[in-house]
Amino acid sequence: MTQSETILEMRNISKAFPGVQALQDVSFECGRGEVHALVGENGSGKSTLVKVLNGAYAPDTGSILLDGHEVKVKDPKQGKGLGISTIYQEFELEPYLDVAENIFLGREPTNRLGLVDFRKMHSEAVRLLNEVGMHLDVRKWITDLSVSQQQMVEIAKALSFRAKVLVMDEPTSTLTDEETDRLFSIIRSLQGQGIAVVYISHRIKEVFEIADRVTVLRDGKVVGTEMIRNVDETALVKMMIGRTLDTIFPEKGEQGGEVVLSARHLSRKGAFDDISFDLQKGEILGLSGLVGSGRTEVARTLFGADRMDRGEILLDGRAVKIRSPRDAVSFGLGLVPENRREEGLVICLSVQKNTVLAVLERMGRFLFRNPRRERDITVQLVSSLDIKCPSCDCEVGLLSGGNQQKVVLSKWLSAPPKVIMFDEPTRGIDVGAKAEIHILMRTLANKGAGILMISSELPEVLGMSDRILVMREGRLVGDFSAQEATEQKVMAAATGVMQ
Amino acid sequence: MNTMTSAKGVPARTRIMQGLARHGEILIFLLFLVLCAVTEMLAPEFLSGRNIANVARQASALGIVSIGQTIAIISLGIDLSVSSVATMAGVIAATVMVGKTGMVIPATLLGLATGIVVGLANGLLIAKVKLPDFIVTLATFSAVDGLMLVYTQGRSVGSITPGFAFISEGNVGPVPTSVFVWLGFAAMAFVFLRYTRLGRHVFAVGGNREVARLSGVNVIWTKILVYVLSGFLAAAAGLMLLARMAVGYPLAGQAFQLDSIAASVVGGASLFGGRGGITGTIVGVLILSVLNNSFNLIGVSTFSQFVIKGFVIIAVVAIRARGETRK
Repeated sequence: MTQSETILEMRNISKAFPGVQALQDVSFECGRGEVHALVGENGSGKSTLVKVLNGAYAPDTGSILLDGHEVKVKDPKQGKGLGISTIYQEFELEPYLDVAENIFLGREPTNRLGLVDFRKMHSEAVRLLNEVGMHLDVRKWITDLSVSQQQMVEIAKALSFRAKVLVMDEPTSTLTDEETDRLFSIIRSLQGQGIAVVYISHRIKEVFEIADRVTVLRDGKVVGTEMIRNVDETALVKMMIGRTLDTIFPEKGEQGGEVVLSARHLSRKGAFDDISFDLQKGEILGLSGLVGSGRTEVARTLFGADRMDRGEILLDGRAVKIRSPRDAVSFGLGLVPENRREEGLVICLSVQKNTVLAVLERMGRFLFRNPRRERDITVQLVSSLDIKCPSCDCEVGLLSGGNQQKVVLSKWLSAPPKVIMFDEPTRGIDVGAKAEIHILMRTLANKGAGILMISSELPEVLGMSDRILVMREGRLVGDFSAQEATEQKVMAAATGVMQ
Repeated sequence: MNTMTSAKGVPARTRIMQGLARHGEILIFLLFLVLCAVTEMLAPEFLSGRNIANVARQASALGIVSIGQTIAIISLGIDLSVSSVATMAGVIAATVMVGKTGMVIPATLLGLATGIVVGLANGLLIAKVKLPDFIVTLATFSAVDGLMLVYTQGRSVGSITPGFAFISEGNVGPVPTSVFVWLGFAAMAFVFLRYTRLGRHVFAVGGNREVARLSGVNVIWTKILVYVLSGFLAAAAGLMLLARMAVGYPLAGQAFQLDSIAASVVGGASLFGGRGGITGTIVGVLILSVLNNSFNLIGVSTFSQFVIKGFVIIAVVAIRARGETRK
């Protein structure tokens, strides 16, 4: 790529947050009319890099050059003005305004009377859309459009800002194959206009279809940048994950226990399809896959938080109907959710109140609480889980992530469950607490509980699981025992790359 | 998963419901006609010239305050202070006017000014200090209400001139003057909401405040303007009431608080923000006014009045909600 063709250059970008170096000396460049894909696992730094580019974050070190000139992007609005537009997975659109109004919100054209010139706005909107081969009724409300059409509105918005660089974050995750094809032809039109596209995606196949170049990030660093024609899918996957397993995990348990939980043909339209597996007592079953593959949805359905269209759940061999979390809890299930601050804890309540939350009824008699029993149980659990808090009445919102997670766990241990499901158990937790939680999980398993562990961290999945299931786009695509599993195999199954 | 998708391949019955909800104005207008017909059957004096003029005058005052309320609701806000602002405008204007023709203009301006001042106070507390709309306007409602009760000692005060009474009690041909005042404000509000940038921004702020902010809409000023308008219109409605009642009365605007919200919501405004319109609110006001009138003519007990009113409001809102796209 010659100098004059480069439109965007990010040089030596570093960005740190408390406790984590999100980006380290990352350099990235994109040429006019080029589609440059950015790939990497969850937590590799992709979204941080995007946010530094569009101005949501300021880099600690490094510089950004647009068209050869250094720019300081202060905020996303200024970034848009400079020509850097971003389309996130969650669109920034007004549901009850029409397409044209959304494109020109805040910059509505006016006529001589100072009133909004709807005709001009509509015709301009149509022109922008047609420029890249999109056709929409610009008078329709956003809420009446399909996801793919809403995305077109976002693209038209970027065009209206005369974008030089368009960042697209997982643009196809909610599109059908047909809609993806349409998006690709739109992207090719954008390329024809000289607009550079930074394309972030987990879908390796699509990257090979649409991108000219690809940059792989891992743990905040650039692993490599290659022309697409110079790599193949396998090599790319290798670049994404190649790391040594240097973390120590607790020793795995013995296998061959009774089956405690069976899922049979679980399906819910739009979320997952035909999920069947067995979970044994004393086993840690890892459930791996990319974000959006449907793992959380399966766990929530098993826990009664969401419904299923078809399927059966068996506990200890008996078919059960789990219609609500209440049912699940009564059957001996527990769920440590993905989002502990919002789903796992009542953040403003104390450690004690959270701990006894699931078993309040069993504590007291009739309508009354039994504060003494609650306190006893809490003290016991705090000590056995080694939760660091000044007192049992301490507000959980003040604890560290690791300790909060332990409180969530203690909620289920006040009445030992048969099955505990963990959704991203150590996300956002420091190394020390991570290890403690891993030990706790293995201890629970050794005591006979069946553990389902959803995790996007490959080392954790491989280090903790006795068996690994992989989901992709709502289906089970992999089933490996601990012995046969490798990062490569799991990642390949998760991304759909053939070995 | 993006939550703004709409379903394709939707069954016919749902599509009809959706259509009805979208063109809700037609639905509620039909309801209005039905109510008129039923009332006429049960109380034949309903369609007499005198009664219609009466209902029209009542409706005008409610209609004016409801315009402001609708604007507030569209912006994802609510103005619970409209009743006491209306009362205060009337009380102050009556006190200043005391039957002197020379004081009509100053009294009117002062009355309207009090509405603007309270609206500004509401707007600043809500938009700049970032307190919840409900709490702020509830507080101003209580404060102003209390102020009025203390000032008037619970008695009526002041007086108006016959000239002033004309704005409500007069006629232009067969049509009461108050209707012109109401429709005048309504037309201006209609143009404001539909054809001005600020008006469109009111919808944007109510629909998705964050998107509006990111698009460069000045959310703070927009919200302040909304409450100033609501205060101003509440005061104007209060002056219309004064013209009817001829004296300043401390509980004059009492019904406005909930009726203006009911009229707006029946008219299609969503309490979740971003949706609503003047035409719908006009029909909503007509429905409520006809209901009130029918209760008087037929002689329905107070208890039944509340029940019937509540039922009508719930029914309309429920049908609307069903027609809305499922998420």
